[in-house]
Parts: sequence; C-alpha cells; structure tokens
Amino acid sequence: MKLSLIATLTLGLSCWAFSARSCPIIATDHQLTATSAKYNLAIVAAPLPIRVGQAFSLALIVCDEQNQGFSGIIKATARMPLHNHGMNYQPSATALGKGKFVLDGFLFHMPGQWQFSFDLRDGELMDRIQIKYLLEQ
Amino acid sequence: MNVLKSLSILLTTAILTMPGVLAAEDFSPSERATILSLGPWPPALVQDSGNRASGDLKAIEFGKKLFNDKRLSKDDQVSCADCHKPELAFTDGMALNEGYKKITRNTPAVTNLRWNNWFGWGGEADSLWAQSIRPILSRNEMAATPSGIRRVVINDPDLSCRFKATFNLDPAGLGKHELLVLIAKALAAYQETLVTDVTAFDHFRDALLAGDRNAMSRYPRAARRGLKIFAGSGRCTFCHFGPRFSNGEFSNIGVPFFVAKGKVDQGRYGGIRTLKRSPYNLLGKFNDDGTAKNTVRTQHVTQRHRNWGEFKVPSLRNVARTAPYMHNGSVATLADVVEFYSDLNEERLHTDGEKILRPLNLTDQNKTDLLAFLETLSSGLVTKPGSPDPFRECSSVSRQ
Repeated sequence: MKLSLIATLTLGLSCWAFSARSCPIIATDHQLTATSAKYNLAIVAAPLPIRVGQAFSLALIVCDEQNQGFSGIIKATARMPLHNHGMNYQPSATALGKGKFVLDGFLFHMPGQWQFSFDLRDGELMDRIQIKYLLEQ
Repeated sequence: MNVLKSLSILLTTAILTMPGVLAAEDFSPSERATILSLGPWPPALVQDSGNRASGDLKAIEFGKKLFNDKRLSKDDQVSCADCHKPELAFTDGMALNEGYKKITRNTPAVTNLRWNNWFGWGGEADSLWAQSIRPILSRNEMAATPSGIRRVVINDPDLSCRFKATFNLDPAGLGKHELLVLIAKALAAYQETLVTDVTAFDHFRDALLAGDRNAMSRYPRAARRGLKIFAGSGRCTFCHFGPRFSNGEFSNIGVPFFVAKGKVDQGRYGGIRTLKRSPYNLLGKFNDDGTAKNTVRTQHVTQRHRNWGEFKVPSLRNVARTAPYMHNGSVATLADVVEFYSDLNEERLHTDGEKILRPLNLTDQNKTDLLAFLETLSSGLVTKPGSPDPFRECSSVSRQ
C-alpha cells in the first residue's frame, strides 16, 4: 500500500501542470476551470487524452476569493447526467498543500457527456463545483 | 476477352454506385467515427506487469500443458480445456455446465483476455492469473486445493522439471499458495496468447479508414446495414465499445439473476466483495508489479447498490461461435439475443439501471441485418509459427 501511494503521488506530481505555482490560478494548456461564489478551481488530467476505459488522475488547484489555497476536504466524482449513472470507481484525494490536490481513480467507461463534481468542505461550509466534459469516441 | 473485361469493369462500377453499396457515404460522420473506434485489431500485446511469466515462452508452453491437465482438479476429473474447448471457440457450448456441482454461470470464452481488466461475470478477479486460480479452487468447478496442486507438481518429475525450468525455482521449496500462484501465472501466460484473428468486419473497418471503396464493397450489404444500426440508432457501442467490443465494465440489462428459489446471483455486487476479500488480488503480495501502477482500479472500485444485477459486458469478437448467451446462458441463439434487445423488458431493469437501455423495436429486416453484422465478427485464432521445445532438459525426466 505504501508503494502504491508513492507511485500515485509520483504520477500526479509528474503531470502537475502548475506544480510550481500556487494561487491565483494561471491558465495552462489542457486546463479546465470553474468557479463558485467562493472558489476558483482548475483541473488537468493525466494521462491525456482521456480515453474510454482508461484510468486517469487529476491535478487540481482550488483558490478562494482572496487567492488563498483551499485547505479543506475534497470529495470528487463524475457522472453521465443523461444516462443517470456515475463512474464505477470512487476517486481518492491527496492534499499537497497550498490548495493543490492529486485525485486518483477516475475512469470513464462510456463515451459521451460527463460531469465532474467536486465537493469542497471547509468546516461546516460545503461548496460544490461541477465541470462538464465531453468524451469523444 | 476485352469485351469480358469491359463488362467486368462496367459491372463493378455499377455495383459500386448502387445505393447502399458505397459504405463511406452510408454512414454519418458520427457513425463513421464510431466504426473506426472499433479497431484496429488486434491491439498491441503488452506484457502483464503483475505476472512475471507474461510473454515468457517457457511459461506459455508450461501453461498450455497445465491447461489440458486434469490433475489440476479433484480426483483428476476435469481440465481447463474440458470446459474451454478449443473446437468451440474456448467455450463449452452449454447454457450451464456442471463441474463437481451445478454451476450458475455460463462458461465464457478465454480468448482476447490480455486486454481485460476485470475477469469473471461479476469481476471477481483483477488479473488473468488470479482468475485462473478461481475455477481450480471452486468447489463447484474443479474443486482442487492449494495443497493438492502442490502435491501434483512436486510428485510428477516432468511437471516439476518444467516448473523449475520456467520459474528457476524448486517447487518443493515453495509454500502451497506461492506454488499455486505461479501455476496460475503460467496458465495466464498461455491464455494471453489465445487471440482471435482479424475478421470480415476488421477488413471493412480498415478499408473505410483507407477510403478503399473496392475493399469496402466486399463487405456484405446486410452486414453494413446491421453495422449502421449497431453504431448508430442501436447505441450498442456505449457498452460494446472499442476493438474488443466491450468497455470492460458491468451493466444490468434485465437478465433475471435468480439462480434458485430464494437465491440470487449478486453479479458485480458480490464480485466486488469477493475481489476485496481475495488474497490473490493485485493489492496483495503476489502482484509482481513493484510500482503497483496496476492497482488503480482495484484500489478505487467501490461496492454500490446499483451493482446488483450487473454483469460483465462481454466482448462480441467471435460472438457467433460462443452460444448460448448472457451470464446464465439463458438466451440460446444470436438471433434470440437480437430479439432480446429489440423487445427489451424495461420493467426488469434495475431501478438505478442505465437509462441508455430501451427496446430497439427492430423490424424483421433490421434483425436480419444486425445478425448479419454480428456474424462478421468471428474468426479463428492468430496462429504463430512453431518453436523448438523449450523443455528439452525435461525430456529425459519424462521418460523415466
């Protein structure tokens, strides 16, 4: 299990498109972004492109309106809203500090419209940010 | 002769310009993209990082011998090949087989397995070698034990010699579980080589990609119409995706899962529980991949209520040769499968079931066409040139 965690972190770090940066979020290639009233969020998948049936990770950064990194708990998932089903896997989140996280264990098992969903819990406060993603054949 | 040649050219031109013959124009851009995503075949055969024997010539030959050895079962009654018969596309042709007791699931083909991530109708195993252990130890199937397998290998000079030559280990020095795992890894190495050959569909798909109209015209018209349903309105490729015609995951399509009065086959729900409890899963000590990169699925798969009644989406390669169908063998013919989807009983779908499933309401012509397409997905095995016996050092032992 320990080896697995190291491997996972290595994978996440090697693909970290904004590893040297912290908040605010700066635009990079292949980055998807979304906002809520309180947070800005950006994700980059690895490996790219995302393919049907292949596991992938997300490098994620969350900044609040004062450009401070989010330090709470993140729970992530993804769904196909039109199909009324989610993934068959529950991604895990590893906090790297300064609002940066590695999320492992995503796998889209069908082509079509998917929707990432990120629940950001900071004490009693909870915010949900969603990002649409169209997975081509 | 010239007249004949001219007539031939005229006839070819006429056929190629007939409605429904020029494949490239028959398909929408979306259907074309979907069809192209069903190839090329076969994909690259990448070594299984969790199996030290994967791709090893000696392990493949050793595994082939083991696959046909009845001594891997209790009382030497059945071998793997007795249920996965090469002459029946590595199935048994039966709805439900009986090993030592009645089995409640249909015997799947063991071809094209190297590209799978989950094995068994409920995905009880996360590697081909772990899956190879399951029927050996199942009380309903081969009913052997780890200690029984160890005795067979150690007491047979030929098997023992082949084991040593393959793994460079003395089987007598191994514990029963360690030895069983290596036997399973040799079995997996052999099964990885059972790859089906290119089909009439693959030729058509490659011709479509190349824009080779002449080659495309050799694909039967009915099959092409069936392919259009498959890749288009039928939406079959949501699950039967990619070159293997399977997304490798699980679905509830409304096939009943009661196996006896008061007993149900839990499908993927039970499969995940079995997987998590197995000492042979990839999170355990028998995984040969030191980086553990092959454990992502096993780490993150989660048992959910909707997994009840879900079963593995089977590959459609060689589908015409692997009757009967469904996890319980309850659908006898391929034509019946087409009927099943045409009249899909939505009442039977799980309440959380896939909303993409709906009756296809096919006409008789549609059904004939879809069947014609599915029949173009079959072929024999890829054959490889023979190689010298890798166990020559064991021949003297065998004669003793």
